Parts: sequence; structure tokens; C-alpha cells
Amino acid sequence: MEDEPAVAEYLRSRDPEVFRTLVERHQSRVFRLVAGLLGPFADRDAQEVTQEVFLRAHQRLGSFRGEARFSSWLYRLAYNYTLQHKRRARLRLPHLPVDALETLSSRDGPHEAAAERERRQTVERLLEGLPELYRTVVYLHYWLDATVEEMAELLAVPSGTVKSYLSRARARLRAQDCAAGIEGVD
Amino acid sequence: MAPETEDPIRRLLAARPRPQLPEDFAAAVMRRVRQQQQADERQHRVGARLVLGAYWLAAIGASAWILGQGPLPEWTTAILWVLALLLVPAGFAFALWSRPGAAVTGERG
Repeated sequence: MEDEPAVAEYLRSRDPEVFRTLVERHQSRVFRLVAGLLGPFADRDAQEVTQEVFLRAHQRLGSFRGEARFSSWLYRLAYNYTLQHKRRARLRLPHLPVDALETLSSRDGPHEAAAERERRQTVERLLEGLPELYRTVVYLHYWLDATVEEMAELLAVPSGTVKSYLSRARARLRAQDCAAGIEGVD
Repeated sequence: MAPETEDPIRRLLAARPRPQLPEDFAAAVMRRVRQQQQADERQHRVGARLVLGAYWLAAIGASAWILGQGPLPEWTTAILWVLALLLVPAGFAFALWSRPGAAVTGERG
């Protein structure tokens, strides 16, 4: 069954198996979008956020009017909720960064570990300085190996726009690299 | 992206572990959906009973007050009592106990 008839069927019958089918069909894509938005340095929340997205989708299913594709509606909901989650997470008290934990268990000496951590932080700062959409396409593409077509579907924009986001993200990173001392990374 | 910029970023991102969904993810979602439905129903029932109880008290009070104002024709009294104590509360009960409608959301589909 296609998505839209499945939604109508679920609203009519409230058969949990129908909703479960929708979850199984879209869970990977939603999870990748959520992880791409959270980024590789805050991805521990991705699973929980993805669950919340499906719960919200279930609560709001009655407002889905079938004017857009169900997948587009769901990805938009995932996008909005994840950004909301990120904003809330920023307000929390700072916690011990992942890098600090990695350093504790590193087999390198303290100097090498510190230098590596500094290099990572430089790149992280560059990436975190990008606008939300540019950063998301960089994470989706370079971290999660998403294709341009997949990113276009997840972000509900044409493929050309995704290519343009990637290109602008690269241009911004190129413009910032000297100031950030990134050439020292290699 | 210039190679000297792109490479460290590619390397850093490629080195980060890819997050994976557990195999029973859909089952976990469905568990939470059931919990959410049960909580909604409980909340809905309590709210409906409170509203309905308040309405009944108000309706009885208002009816008693109207009847106490003076003699009314027989048929007016009967209609008043039917409306106040049966039809309107029944309508409320039906509206409140039926499944709640979809929440208003920003997402348009």
C-alpha cells in the first residue's frame, strides 16, 4: 500500500500494524535526516529524537491532508522537531565533551592526543560555523554518504539546490580555512 | 573545496562512527504510541467528566431558578427539563467522549 492510502486507512481503522508499516518504511530516512541535522558530534540523541518524530507524526496524522506526499510531510516534521531539539539542547548546562573522554582512553601520548584534539576542534568549529542547511548537507554527504537525490528528498528541495548548498558550504570553508589554520591539519 | 580543506573534513567525518538504528526500533515506537494513546484517553476521560459534571450542576441550578420564577405552561417546563438534563448533556458527552480530533500543527500535508 502507498503511503497516502495507508495514512487514510490508519485514520479510519486505527490498526497499529498500518502505522507500524509506515514507521518501518521511513525510519531509516528519518533517522539519517535527524542524525545529519544533529551532526557527528551530537548524534547520541538521534535515536531518541527519531522516536519523538514518529510520536509527533502519530499525534498529528489527522492534520495530514494529502496535499503533499506523506514522506515530505514527515521529513518536514522531522526537520522542524530536530532543530527545536537542538535549540533546547544548547540551553542545557555544558557537559564533558566527547573528545575529552576519547583523550582519556587514547593510546597516544598526552601531547599527540592534545594536538589531535586541537585539530579536530578547529575543523568542528569551521563546520559548526556554517549555516544550518549548509552544515546539514555537508554532514549528510561526507559523514552519512547521502547522495544528492536523497538529500533533495529529505530537505524537500530540488537536486540543483542541494548541489548549490554543497558548493557554497565548500566556498565558505575554503574562505575560512587560512584564518582557522586548517592547512596545518594535513 | 580545496584539497587541504576538504581532506581533513572528510577524514574527520569519515572517522566518526555512523549511527545505527536498532532492529527493534519500530517495535519501540509502537510501544510508545500505545502508551501515548492510553495517557491521552485517561486525560480525555477525566477532562470530559469534570466538564460534564460542572455542566450538570449549572443546568440543574439554572432550571430550578427558572422554574422558581413563576408558573410556566406545562409544555414549556417539560421541554426545559428535557433540554437541560438530557439532550444537551448527552450532546456534550458524545462530543467529549468521542475520539479527539487532530491537533492543529504547523506542518501542512
